[in-house]
Amino acid sequence: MASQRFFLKTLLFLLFLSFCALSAAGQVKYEKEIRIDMNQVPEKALNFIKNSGIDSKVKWHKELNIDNTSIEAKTTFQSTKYSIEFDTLGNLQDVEFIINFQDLPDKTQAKIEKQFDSLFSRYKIIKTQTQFSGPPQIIQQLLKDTKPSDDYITRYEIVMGGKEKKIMRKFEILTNESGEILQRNRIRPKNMDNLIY
Amino acid sequence: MHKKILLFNIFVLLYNIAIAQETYEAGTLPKLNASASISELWEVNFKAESQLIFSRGEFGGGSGVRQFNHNRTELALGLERKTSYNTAITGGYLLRMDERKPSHRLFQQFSLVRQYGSFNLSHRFASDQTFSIGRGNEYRIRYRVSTSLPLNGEKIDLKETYLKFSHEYLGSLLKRNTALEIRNLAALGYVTGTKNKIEGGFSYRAEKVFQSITNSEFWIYLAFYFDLDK
Repeated sequence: MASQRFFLKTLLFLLFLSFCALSAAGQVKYEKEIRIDMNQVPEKALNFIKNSGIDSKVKWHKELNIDNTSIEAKTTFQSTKYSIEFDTLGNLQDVEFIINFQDLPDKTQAKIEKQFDSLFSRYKIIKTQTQFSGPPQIIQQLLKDTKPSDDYITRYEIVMGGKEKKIMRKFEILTNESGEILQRNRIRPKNMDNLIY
Repeated sequence: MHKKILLFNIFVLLYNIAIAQETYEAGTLPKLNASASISELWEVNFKAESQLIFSRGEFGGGSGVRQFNHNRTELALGLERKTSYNTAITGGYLLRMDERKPSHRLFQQFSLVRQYGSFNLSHRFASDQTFSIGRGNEYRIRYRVSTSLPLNGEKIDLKETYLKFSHEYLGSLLKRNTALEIRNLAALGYVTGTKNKIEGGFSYRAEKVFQSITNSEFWIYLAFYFDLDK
């Protein structure tokens, strides 16, 4: 009987805490990414995809942040994973696609590695993406693999683990075309206790 | 991979029913887990878990007993050190209370979480040593693989639901007798607006696998994960 009483007390405590957790929901601002249907996508964004020669299945997402909302098209086209970002009116923001770090131009690779060597005592590259931005027609020419008729901006986004001050941290690094670091943002690890404990 | 795990579990369950003498327990498994960071590298983790049995008996003609019964409650406190952005080691102490005298357990674990596209995959390697008067000391090694995947979008955001699956092997040594236990879990989870998580699902555990007398456990799983670092 004593152990059953103890159990009931524990259970009540659990229920009380879970109620607190649920009632506190919504007090914190949050980021969210949701799948959306094609009919929720601005016409301009749909036309961009249509005129880019992409004939593979496109998954549409809406990204809600504290500051802004964006529409994102995700697709695998000619064995490459693309992420095409638009604003809520359907204006193109940029196109990103995954590549191998080794596929970057040799000079760019060398410059990035040199900077990483000076910033971190040890590092590991997790993901590399090429980012194109510019006039929509020019980006469409790039997606069609034809020579663009005008100027556009190429940047590289690298997700990597880097050891600094004896701590291995995760970063998102943005470089220009020549490999010069423009931005360095630390990615804070998510709480994964539900998978660990 | 998932198909192989599922087939293996079906095989274990069928083996237990067909060949071994099979006992069972069914009940609910409420669990609370709370963590708080001390620094960038260190974290404290607290866990409270109970087993409430609704029914127990024997498969194949044995008489089952339907009775509310508190099987045990465990309280654990662990200290975690992050060794990388996706790996950590934890050591701690667990107190187990049941109808007999309390047991004391020391545990150690190494965990690794990786992201593959939209799902997270975690590997956990653990060991523990349980000390209890009258029952002998028990030593276990464990391996668990867990995965979570969002039901909407490509990552699990706040106020979103997700699926979670886990599969675990536990090898134990007690009084020179070894035993194998296999645990499986399938659950539906929800992330609240304050980064806490609620999970509900089913767990199947096969104890003393491939022995003459085996035990199957069927649990309704209910878990609350509190992240105290807002």
